[in-house]
Amino acid sequence: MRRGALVFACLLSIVATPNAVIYAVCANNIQSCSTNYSTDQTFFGSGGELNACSSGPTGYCSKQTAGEIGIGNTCSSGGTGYCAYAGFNTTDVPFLEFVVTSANIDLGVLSTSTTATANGTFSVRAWQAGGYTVTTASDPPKNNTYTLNALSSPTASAAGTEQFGINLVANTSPTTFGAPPQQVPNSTFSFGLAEPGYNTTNLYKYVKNDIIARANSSTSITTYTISYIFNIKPSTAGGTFTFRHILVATGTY
Amino acid sequence: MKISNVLRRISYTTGVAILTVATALPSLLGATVHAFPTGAQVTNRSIQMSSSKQSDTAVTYKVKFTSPSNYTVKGIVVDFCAGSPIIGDATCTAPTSFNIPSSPTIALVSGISGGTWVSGAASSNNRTLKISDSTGNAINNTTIEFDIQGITNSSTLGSFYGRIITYSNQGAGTDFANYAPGTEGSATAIDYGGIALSTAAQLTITAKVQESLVFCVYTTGATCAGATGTSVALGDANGVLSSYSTNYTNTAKFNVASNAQGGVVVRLKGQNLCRVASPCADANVGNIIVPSSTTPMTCQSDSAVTSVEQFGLRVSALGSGVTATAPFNCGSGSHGFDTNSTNGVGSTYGATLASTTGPGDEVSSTVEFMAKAATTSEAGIYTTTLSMIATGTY
Repeated sequence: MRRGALVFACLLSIVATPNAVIYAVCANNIQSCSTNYSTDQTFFGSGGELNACSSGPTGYCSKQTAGEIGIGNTCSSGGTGYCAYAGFNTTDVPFLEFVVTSANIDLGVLSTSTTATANGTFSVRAWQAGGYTVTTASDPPKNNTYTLNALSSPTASAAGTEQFGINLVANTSPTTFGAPPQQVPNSTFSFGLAEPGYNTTNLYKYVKNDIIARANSSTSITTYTISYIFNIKPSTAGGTFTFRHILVATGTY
Repeated sequence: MKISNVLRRISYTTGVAILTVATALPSLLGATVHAFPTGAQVTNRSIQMSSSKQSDTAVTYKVKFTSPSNYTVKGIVVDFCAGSPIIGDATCTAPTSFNIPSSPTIALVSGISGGTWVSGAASSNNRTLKISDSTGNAINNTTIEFDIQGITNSSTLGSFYGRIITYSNQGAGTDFANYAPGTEGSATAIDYGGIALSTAAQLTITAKVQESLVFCVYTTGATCAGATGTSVALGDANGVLSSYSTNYTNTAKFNVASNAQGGVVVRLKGQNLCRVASPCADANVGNIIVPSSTTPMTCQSDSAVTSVEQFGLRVSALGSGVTATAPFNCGSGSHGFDTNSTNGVGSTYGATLASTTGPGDEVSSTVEFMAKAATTSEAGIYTTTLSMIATGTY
């Protein structure tokens, strides 16, 4: 009788993927499947809990594992190899996490003899994705109707000329500031990169609607550091320049 | 043994019955578990926002995807949900404060065209966009792209989702017309896919630029940073107006740089060349080119007549963006000067020497002074102190 019950369960599993023969699309709540088989909540490790919560209606919850092994990206061989991302921190649905470290940075009074610099950070994670792009969506810094000159191509900082630009790498000029993209936990799991034009040390650029960062596959967290430069010339209009930097992350699935 | 054989026969019978039932199940399961689009998952799908700012208005969402099936597309649903991108999930709550106008503006980019795709666009529940056309467009692994304009972003910081479903029919009673999360349809619902989006915080950077005016007057140098000298000697090698038919000249410079949006005016204030200390009455000076009481001020040609005394100046070289003002805008061989107390160098604020019309970086201009003695000129040392005053309009 017990054997009969096991046979029945397996048959139901096959039947529950009516389109599997043609498209191998997993049914709802099934994480992994092939044409004829599916598996869910696969875990290899010493133990853990998918949803551990403290008590009370406002308890905090977390996903926990102990000694999880086999995390990261793995692929079968060949040009048409199948790949998978193993580990509970991945998701089974299209996922985009985009966090900008909100900050109000006051550079004080600008000078024609020195460059003002600043840093900001953002991080991106995207699962079940073909990758993502991060676009800069703001106009350059403005003082009422006067817009600071934005560098249209990668250019070195020059005090005394009017310049606004950014990059996403570590720099030594005009000062030591910035950082390269940081892959979290490491580069076998995360693949975000600064876009060409914004990836050269000591060269800065700013064009509205440019892509400034991208990943070309599903990826864990990449933390980016934006380096800003502000230079003015004697004829730069007086007043307060404000730059509210809107960044847009777009995942491709 | 018998018992086990009986049991074995029972298990075989049961197994066969199960197989039979299982074979018949697909259609029953497909009809009763959920209605699901019959095509495939759209690929290369994305929704790009023109702004990620929470609660931002007039935001444009660019919807782009490749519909892999071969059919005539007549309807597209884009549904925005706070919690899930899963097609078939009956729960779809609009992100907080998210809104698509009830008659949204659609801009077609590729894949679909003509008909009522644009004019018939409508949204419901603040989050469900439907566009359709009764004729439709034949597609086969085609990329479809269109913009949804006028969206208000969610006020919630973080991720939210979009669901795309395409339809091969759009009339009354069809899957498209009856669309709801969890009942997307299976008769004419074709391709589908979910997308994740995210609002984000902003970085705000503030910097101040002070109003500035850089102005210097000098005889030696090129820029204000290295400018020196304030004495201008007129005469021969000994500084003497020795020839009564010669117009002796010498120069000084002034530089100006300013971010004054209305430009800078440079004024000249002082008195004539005079043998005695200020105040210098006309009776004690060599004759000026233009009597102090004469206005408007004009340039006068340099004279070689030995009985004529002259003193004047002109701006002989103009920096970029600088314009000289009469009577100092003379050409070579002419100079001007006027001591009238209304608008001449003798007035409260002086006479306008030159001006700019807007902001500019440091530029240098040259002032040429000229003096000529007459046979009747009294002997002595003639001097004057001239001040140049720069005024910016911001």
